[in-house]
Amino acid sequence: MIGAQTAAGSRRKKQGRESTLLYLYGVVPLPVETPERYLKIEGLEQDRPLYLIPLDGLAALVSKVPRRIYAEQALKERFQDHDWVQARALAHHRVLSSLPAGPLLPFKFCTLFTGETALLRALADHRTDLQAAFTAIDGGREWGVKLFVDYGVFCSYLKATLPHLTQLARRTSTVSPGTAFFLKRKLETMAREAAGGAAGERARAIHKVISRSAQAERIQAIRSQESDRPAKELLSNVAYLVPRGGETRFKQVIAELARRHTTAGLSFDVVGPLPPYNFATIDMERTAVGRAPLRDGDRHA
Amino acid sequence: MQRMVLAELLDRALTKGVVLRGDAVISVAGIDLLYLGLKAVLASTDTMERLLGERTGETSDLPLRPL
Repeated sequence: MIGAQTAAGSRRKKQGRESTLLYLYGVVPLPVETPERYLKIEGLEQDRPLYLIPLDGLAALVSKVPRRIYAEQALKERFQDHDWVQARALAHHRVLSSLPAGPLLPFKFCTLFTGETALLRALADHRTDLQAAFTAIDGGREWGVKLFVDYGVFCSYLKATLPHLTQLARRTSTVSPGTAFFLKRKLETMAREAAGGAAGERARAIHKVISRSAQAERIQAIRSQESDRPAKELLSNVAYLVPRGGETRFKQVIAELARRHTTAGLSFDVVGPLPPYNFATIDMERTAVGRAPLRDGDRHA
Repeated sequence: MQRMVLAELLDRALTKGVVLRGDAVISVAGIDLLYLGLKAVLASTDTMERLLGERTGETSDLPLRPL
């Protein structure tokens, strides 16, 4: 249908008789405009390029991987090697982000099958869910937006702008040095107390504005060590699903927000466009029931 | 590559994407557990989801870290 099988066949001969598994990167809807471009993408393992396996209007993007490395037990051992995992995870990402433009459902790292039969069977079982996921994503791409706050700058900003803090600040210049010392300390404490809530309010307001130019959003985990700029603290981390035609607008909105909030000590980190990792979900509970057992030949030993 | 971008990509590539379960899928079911070990190296956890859990009834709001 798309010439992929033949290409895979000739590769198989080159690779000799090494036993392999199928690594599934993602699924795309058919027809694809330039199938030959998929075939040029190197897979997770050397000399194992991508190919497409068609299935009822969709195509699975796969490559072969050696069974001696990716079989379940072997893989568990490999996972102790963090450098190995990191390199493969980035390769997984490289494959997904070097695909020709078009709708894409990325699959989770190390989704592996014994062969085409098992893969087609698993995908056929979830055909409706995959279609629903495509409809929800609607060709959008993911953008990660992190909002940081420099609390030092933010507190100074609050002291200069919040009425009860500016009043207190003014009083410090009209009292004795001793009283002023205590008032200043009080001012600092009050500014810090106000900062927590005020930063939250700003983050929520900012999030609301950004959401208007996105199809969907997912709140991301915050890791405590994540800032490499010690003065700045991560306030929020949100993944947005942005329609293709709306990416320029989306970036403009963030640039505008960054300009507006910079005096308050807020800054942004934007990463994208990415495959819609956070939005590629299917409802397993609805479909994973009532399946017939696999034939022995399909099951992984 | 910036360390933070790297962390973003790794986090997504390792933990996100469509998950299929069933006998046909070999190993994805075990990945979550294995990932925990790696995650400990990548980062200590302080998740928004946990913070969300503490703020009942406000799940649509962005949870925030205290000052």
